[in-house]
Amino acid sequence: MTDYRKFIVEDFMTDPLFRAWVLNGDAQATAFWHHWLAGNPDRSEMVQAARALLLAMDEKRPTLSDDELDTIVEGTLGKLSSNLETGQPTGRRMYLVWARVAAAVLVVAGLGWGLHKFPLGASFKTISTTSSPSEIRVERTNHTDRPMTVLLGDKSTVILQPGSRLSFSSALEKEPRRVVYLDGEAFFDVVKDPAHPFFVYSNHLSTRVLGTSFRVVAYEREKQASVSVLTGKVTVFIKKDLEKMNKMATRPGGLVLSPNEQVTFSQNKDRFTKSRIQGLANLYHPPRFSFDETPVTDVFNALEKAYGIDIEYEPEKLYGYRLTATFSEMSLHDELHLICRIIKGTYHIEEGRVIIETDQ
Amino acid sequence: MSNLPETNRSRDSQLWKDLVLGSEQALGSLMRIHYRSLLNYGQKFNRDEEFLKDCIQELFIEIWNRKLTLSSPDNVKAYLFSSLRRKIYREAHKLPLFHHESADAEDGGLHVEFSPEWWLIEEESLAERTRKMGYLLNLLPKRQREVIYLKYYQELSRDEIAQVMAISPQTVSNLIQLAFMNLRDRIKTVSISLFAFLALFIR
Repeated sequence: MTDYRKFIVEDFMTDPLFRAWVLNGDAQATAFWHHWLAGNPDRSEMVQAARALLLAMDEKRPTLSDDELDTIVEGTLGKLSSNLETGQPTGRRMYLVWARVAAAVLVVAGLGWGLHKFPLGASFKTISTTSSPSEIRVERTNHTDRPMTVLLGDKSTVILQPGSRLSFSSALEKEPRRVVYLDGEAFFDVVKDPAHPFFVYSNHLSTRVLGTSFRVVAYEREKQASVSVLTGKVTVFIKKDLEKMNKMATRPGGLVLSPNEQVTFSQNKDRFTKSRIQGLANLYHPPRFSFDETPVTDVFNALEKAYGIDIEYEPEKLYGYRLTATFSEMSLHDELHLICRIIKGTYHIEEGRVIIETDQ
Repeated sequence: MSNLPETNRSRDSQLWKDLVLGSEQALGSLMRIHYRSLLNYGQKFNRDEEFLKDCIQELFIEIWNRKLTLSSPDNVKAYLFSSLRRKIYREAHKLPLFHHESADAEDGGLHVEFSPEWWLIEEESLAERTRKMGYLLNLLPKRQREVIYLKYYQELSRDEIAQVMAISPQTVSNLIQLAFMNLRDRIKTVSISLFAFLALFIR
């Protein structure tokens, strides 16, 4: 057994159990360290210093997806001298150009965030990050001309507008911080969970949330971005300020928004403008459904269509179940919950799809 | 699957042997294993991702082209890191390939910069502490900063760091010690001034 009382800051920083707590939020490690700190309050200062130092070095930037890495590796192998007899362009200049072209195709959107790059443009992509190789990222792009609902693993809902893109970790609900990346416009209905705050990274603005509903409009190609709040409270940061802050000794304040308030950031003016906004609720009105002795499979079809989502189930197991109900002012999660009670099943979210499981 | 450093090292050495024998697959595997760490390391010096990707690709192509004349490195990861470091420096300064630069000049061109994402941390006091630590880390002299990054972020050993930065293992130890002495002094100064500030209110 390691005697952690003999540890100094440097020792904590290299200890695997300590790193598992600080960098990965591992549940077992977290429990251990909370317990240890309670028993050794005189070591708290040292532990907090080690924790902050590790966190200060830990940049969570999603970098390359496995597919991107594959393409890069294949591209490099294709340029090895033994493969050049096929008449491919040779020489340093040429392959640098090639690499740039490939990269331009691959890295679709930089979000303007500089540090945070979106993965590929296809609808579903899995990406692992440098800092935690086990993390899989999911990306959804709304290629349709209607709003699309994206369900997150923590039961939060995102309504993604046409041409907009959202990316997030497939194990979002298990992460110490729920972080999503947005290019475009989306309405968020976030499930409250103070232990796991929710963040939206976007062009120009970054938003910190506890549990609330709000809209973010931040297209990468545009010089303006806004956040509007329907319920609850959010804190908005200008990303440029955040970058600057790392070189300064004082802490920047984020802007706190309350219901029916909106903040607009304009790159030209380089500043926030706060205003009142009405009618946000009407813009994001949940669809109404009326079912009368409707087979459950048809109900699922109707939900899929209205929300632009995929629901996976085994039709033969649902044979004979019928539903008579009116859904209004209900969230998709409430609707799924209700249907699952009727068919005696459960549902969960996997990479943005709804998976229905029935017991029999 | 074990993730022990020794296991990784022997896996890397085996792949290197295979690539010397002409296995493109082995080169590909080495690239897959180390690409993300190399990119992260490069990003500490230079934010231009396309430039860095070009550098890393060139690095692997050069290894392939010179595989019969290169002596196999004791430690492949350290070899890759040090090669990338040299390459970034040369490319960024448009230096001829065989220009011999002194260690000092090289350090003058490269420095690690930390940009902690403290604002992602909900716990107010920890967020503030993290931000402050990032600030203090960036105040360290360049070589101390890089040693700290390689040891605590990339988890390289003392000998590996020595190889990457082309300094002696003893110098690595000294730099780490100096870095922590510096940090401790500055943390003290910061908390004393904070204390004095609070004292104004208490009175």
